Amino acid sequence: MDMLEVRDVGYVYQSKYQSIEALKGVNCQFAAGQFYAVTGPSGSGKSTLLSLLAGLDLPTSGEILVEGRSMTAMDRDKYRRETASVVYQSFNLFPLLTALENVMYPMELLHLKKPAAEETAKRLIGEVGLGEKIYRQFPVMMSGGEQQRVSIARALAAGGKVILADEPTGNLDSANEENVVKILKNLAHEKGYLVIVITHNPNVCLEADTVYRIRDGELRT
Amino acid sequence: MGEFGNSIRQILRTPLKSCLFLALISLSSALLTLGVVLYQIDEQNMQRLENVFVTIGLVSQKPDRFETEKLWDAEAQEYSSYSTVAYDSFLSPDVLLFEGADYINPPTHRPYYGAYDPSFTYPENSYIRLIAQTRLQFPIVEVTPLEDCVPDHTVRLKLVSELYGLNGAEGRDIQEWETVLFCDHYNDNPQTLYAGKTYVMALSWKQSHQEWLDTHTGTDLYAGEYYPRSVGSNFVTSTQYSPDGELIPDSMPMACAYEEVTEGFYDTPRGIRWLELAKAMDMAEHTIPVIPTDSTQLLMSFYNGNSTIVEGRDISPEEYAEGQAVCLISKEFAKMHGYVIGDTMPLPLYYADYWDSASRDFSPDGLQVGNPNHLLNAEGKAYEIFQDIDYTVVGIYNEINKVSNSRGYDMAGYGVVIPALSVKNSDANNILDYGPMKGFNTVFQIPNGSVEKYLKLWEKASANGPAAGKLTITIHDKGYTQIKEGLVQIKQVAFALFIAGLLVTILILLFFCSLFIGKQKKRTAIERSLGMGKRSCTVSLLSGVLTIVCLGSALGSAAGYALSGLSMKLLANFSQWASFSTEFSNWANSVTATADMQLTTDTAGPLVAILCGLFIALLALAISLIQIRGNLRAEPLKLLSTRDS
Repeated sequence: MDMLEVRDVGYVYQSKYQSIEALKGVNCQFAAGQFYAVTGPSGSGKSTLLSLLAGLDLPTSGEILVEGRSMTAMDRDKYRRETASVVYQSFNLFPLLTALENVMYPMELLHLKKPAAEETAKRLIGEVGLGEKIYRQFPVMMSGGEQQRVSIARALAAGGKVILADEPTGNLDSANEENVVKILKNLAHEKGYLVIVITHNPNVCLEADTVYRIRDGELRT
Repeated sequence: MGEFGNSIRQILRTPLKSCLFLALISLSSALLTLGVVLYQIDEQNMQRLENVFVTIGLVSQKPDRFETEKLWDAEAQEYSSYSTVAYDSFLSPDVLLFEGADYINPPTHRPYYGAYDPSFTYPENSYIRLIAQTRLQFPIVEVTPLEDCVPDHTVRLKLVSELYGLNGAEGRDIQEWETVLFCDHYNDNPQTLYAGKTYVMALSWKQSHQEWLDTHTGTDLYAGEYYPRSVGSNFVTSTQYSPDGELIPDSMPMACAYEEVTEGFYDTPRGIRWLELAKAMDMAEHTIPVIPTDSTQLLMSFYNGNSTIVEGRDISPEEYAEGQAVCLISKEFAKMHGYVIGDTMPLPLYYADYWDSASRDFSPDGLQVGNPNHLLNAEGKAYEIFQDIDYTVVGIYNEINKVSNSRGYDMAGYGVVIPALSVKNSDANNILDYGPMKGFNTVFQIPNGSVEKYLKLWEKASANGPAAGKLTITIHDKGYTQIKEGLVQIKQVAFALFIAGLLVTILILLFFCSLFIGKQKKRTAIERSLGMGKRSCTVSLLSGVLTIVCLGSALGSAAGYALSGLSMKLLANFSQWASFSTEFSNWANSVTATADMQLTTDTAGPLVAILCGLFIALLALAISLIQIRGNLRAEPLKLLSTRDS
């Protein structure tokens, strides 16, 4: 069974003066242990698809299934807490929390005891290739690559098996880009995560198991 | 706990902003609390002011003219003159019912009543005075001259019997040798008295006649010289008035206070009148002065604090309004008759005096008890009881300074205060004297602070009316006007502090809530993307801000509360409201000595300060929730997909 299934999904942005059809009858499946890339020009509907896959919004038409269950019927906050995590181009760490605290944050939301959360956070930080010295650093003190890796560690912290990444390499230099892609790819292939990356970057597409292209709201493999 | 802990952690990571927020919210809270607490103290003082202070007006009709009268003086052998006041008519208090006059108790021309209770006696020492004052001073006796004489000088008359005198007091027999010294002192043409004839006389004692000193032998039982009570003020002629203040002509006027007693004299109307006079004199001995009023504060002795309730309670406004049969008695009265609170006492009312004050007929020091004058009605009879009900004693009062020669404003000796409306029966046939409105019998009450307005309206209303220039109105407010002015100033300061505090608090909250919440849209978006529900996001944003606000408002409110007492004292000194004005009060000095009149500078209860702190916290909550609503409305992905600045 596919981890995520997008069935004939459409999405319309309705404003006071106009309505924009961002997605039109999109159909696709995403399986666990796979590394997917979704690419397309700006304004093609990539981020809208990610928003819907993250449960931040619901499709105007069609439905998204999570392990066969319609997302419409789910507690989407719980879905984001326990199943899907998002990694952003701009990292979006809490600027007033240290790297360790940022990674611990999702676990605290799951009411994990502090020592256990701290231990897990340290392990995850290690897994994304960062050392102990990063623990007490605030985001402003880290490089872009470090921030993105902390961001990935935070995405892993809740224990969900879906990682959604929105241009994760967009703000990184080529060395860091390579590292981040490698981490994401390993997560999919070695740890069984479903990794979906929204990207313009052809290098990322080259590393993906499957690439979906979106143009004018329509999806093509 | 996760959201709360992270919220606090994040707000503490900006210590400068957090401390500034805490300091400013503490200051504004202090300002707001200070304003509110000062306002409340001031309001309490104003309330106390309204409760304690009473504004009353004393009305007095001016005489239309002074008249000079001549009176023969047998000792000086010449006429002496004296002046009396004269009124063309007695004005009704209705002239004071003009448009705009907002009376709490309207002016009423009040009498004092005489209550006749045969069982009512004065204590022994007072009774001795009574004997001296009444029975010896105003005896009614039968006498016979030892020889024919014209009483244009002191003559000795043999005492035959007493209609009213020591006999009535002791039940003794008249001795053969008892004599009375008599002079028709103020009569320039006295009639001859013949030996062998008997005369009945209503007499008054006179002290200073030199001839008495020369002729006094020790056999004169009534140790003094007497003159008939028909000269000067004729006390044997009726002075009964109608309720309109018209003198009712005496059906059998007596020009002279002595006349011959013939066989069967006391069966004649004339003789019966003499017996009635003696009866009336006897009733006067057992008379209790009763003072009707609409409020205890309308009695000047209570108003100026000279009399106070020492046991029980005052007559309540409801009892006054409903005219319930309750009364206040003096401490001496209670002691003399063993009355305690809750006892009932009979008060059979038999006359109403619209001329004089009870305290002038029954002096507060007990030296004069009873009214021996004006005792007969127009039919020549003693007044009948017109209302006989029992009154319940609810309070016992004490008058501090008992003075003789009272101006009429003191409490009468053994006086009983009753609600005016408790006198249900008409006194129309029992008015033994009537006179103009005086300060002691016509008092009104107006709202505090309305003195200037009242006097202006009165001046305008009376300008062309029948009372123009004929009334003197004296207002007493115990200094309320000046105190109120000071309190209003304090209230304005308190209000300004409150408004300033409120505005500053709102501005600070708007600024810092915007900083800590409004500008944290991205943080909310991250939290949303991490799976935090809207409620969790709200808690996360609110916790830190509310913690600082609660801490700040608690500190500020406590400081404001602590400062309020000090500020009140400073403001009080500044505005000098604690001093009493004498503009409308002759008794201001005695008033300041009364504890009840002291206005508080103590701070109000802490509840107000707590409520102020709570109010600020709620205000912060409201402003925060509005900001949070904006945060939650923002599209998370849109915010999170943009690069941080």
